[in-house]
Amino acid sequence: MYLNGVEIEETFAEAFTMRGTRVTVTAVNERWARYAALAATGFATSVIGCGVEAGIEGPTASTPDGRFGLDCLFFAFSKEDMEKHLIKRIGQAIMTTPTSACFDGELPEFQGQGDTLNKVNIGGKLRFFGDSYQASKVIGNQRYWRIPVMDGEFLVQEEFTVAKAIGGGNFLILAESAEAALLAAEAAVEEMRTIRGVILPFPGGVVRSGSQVGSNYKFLSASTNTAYCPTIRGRLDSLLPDGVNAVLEIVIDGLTFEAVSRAMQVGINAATQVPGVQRITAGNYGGRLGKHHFHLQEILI
Amino acid sequence: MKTQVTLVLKKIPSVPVEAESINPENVTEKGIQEIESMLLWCGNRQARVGDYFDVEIASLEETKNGVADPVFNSSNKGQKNLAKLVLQGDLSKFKRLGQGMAAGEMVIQGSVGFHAGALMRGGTLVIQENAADWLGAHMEGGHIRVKGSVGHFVGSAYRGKTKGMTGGTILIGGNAGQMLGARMARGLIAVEGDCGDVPGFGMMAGTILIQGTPGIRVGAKMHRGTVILFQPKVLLPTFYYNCTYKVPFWSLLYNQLIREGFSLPASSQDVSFRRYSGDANEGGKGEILICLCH
Repeated sequence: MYLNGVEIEETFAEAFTMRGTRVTVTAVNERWARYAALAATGFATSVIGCGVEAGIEGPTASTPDGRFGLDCLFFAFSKEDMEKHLIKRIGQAIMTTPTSACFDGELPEFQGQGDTLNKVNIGGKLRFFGDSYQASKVIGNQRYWRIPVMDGEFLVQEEFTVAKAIGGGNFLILAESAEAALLAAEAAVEEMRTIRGVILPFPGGVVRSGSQVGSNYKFLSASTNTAYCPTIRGRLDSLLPDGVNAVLEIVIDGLTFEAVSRAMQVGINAATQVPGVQRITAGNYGGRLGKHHFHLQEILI
Repeated sequence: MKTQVTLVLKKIPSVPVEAESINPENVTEKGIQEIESMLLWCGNRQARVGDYFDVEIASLEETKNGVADPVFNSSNKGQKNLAKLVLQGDLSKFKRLGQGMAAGEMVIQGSVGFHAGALMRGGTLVIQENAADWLGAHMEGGHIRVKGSVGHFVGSAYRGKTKGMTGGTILIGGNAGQMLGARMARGLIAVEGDCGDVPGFGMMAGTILIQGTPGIRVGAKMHRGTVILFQPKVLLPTFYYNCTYKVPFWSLLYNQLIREGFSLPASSQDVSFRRYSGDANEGGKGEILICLCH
């Protein structure tokens, strides 16, 4: 299959079931909300190395406190991991930001599927930072914790909603040069960031050091994706076609299969419009490890 | 199909009637005769609903008015099978209406006597005129909306009890009497008008909001909880000033009150408050927030 003259390989991206949650960060203005959101979602590219994958989803349509807000999505392997990392990140990155407040972004994508949702206790554990001077306030059906801080109070919701989500959707852009690959990746990311319910956890939404399972070293469980590294082509079984000199990958985490599919669709479509892109493929493990398979050619139909 | 049961008062009793049996759960799926035979106590004499009310039952078109009461919208999910109960007339001599109700909608088109909505656990009670003392005493959940004024001890603890209301919302359109929310331990009481002396007496948690002028000794003996005043007030000396700041939870509370039809000035949406801690005699963990919107 060809799209915009670019070959779309008949393969699929293999993704995993993870736990996802949406955190809404508000502050006095966009600048401070963004500082908090960037800090909270920083160093969260890969769940293996960072414990959690995270990114800014976009501005919140309607925040609980009426101020400017940003929705951030977090993905972890388990509910327990999610709680552990959210406590750290909200405590160290959001609570520390002047004027900030933090709310459960809820997951309307799962409306009517309440039995599939879980709650993690975040505010109820962060509250101890208040050194016994903290107080709670129940508004509606939600409990919020008020933690005294030096500019007033940090307000954080007690519980955050967690759902089964998808991590590791991906596609690879094979291009004739590093410049072309980067331009294509940038174009793809720009389009994909318009889709709600997904994040691209790597810097700028793009990863150059794609990985493979296993290594020549016994102590390493993952290593560089040798089959797609152009500088070692010929020294092993390469998957790079002739004329391809650079590969970039875009990894997508999403709340639903549909959101990930849609993001991949618009991203691939944008990438294939950039001159120099030769092929689009995807990473998988033969279908043995991940439950969610995103077949490129089906997504693009 | 959801039904509406309407009780139209035909005779005002000469002595107070204990009417705790009248609530949406007790009238649902009953015929007119069954409802008329429900028992009441009139002084020391047993009476029946039919002695005082004409009973009507009609099917209820849920979209009849296009826009439903926001209070109902927020509280009646999953309760669609319960009949809506409407009472018409001056029910000032009927005590304990809606007492202990756990679900459904009850609308009283008139005034009510003592203990309305006391021990309520859920559902919505709307009183379109005034309510007497002990409204929502020991309430655990649900919504009470009074469009007129209320008596003393709203949401309070009965004599000898240590905890008043422990949940739910009471919104009052008019004035309130003394000891508003005495010993309340969670929940929200908001008053659009003035209120009598000692609001928030012995409060343990929860929120009281008074838009009008409060009486003396606001928050006396409060342990925890929040009293929000919209009018400046000289406080007891056992309350001490902390700071002036924008209270982060205020915008959430403001939005909730507006959603539920409570009237607040738009200018108060983004305001600062003077915060006082107290009662120092009780540990000082309570707070009085005085709005600087005036």
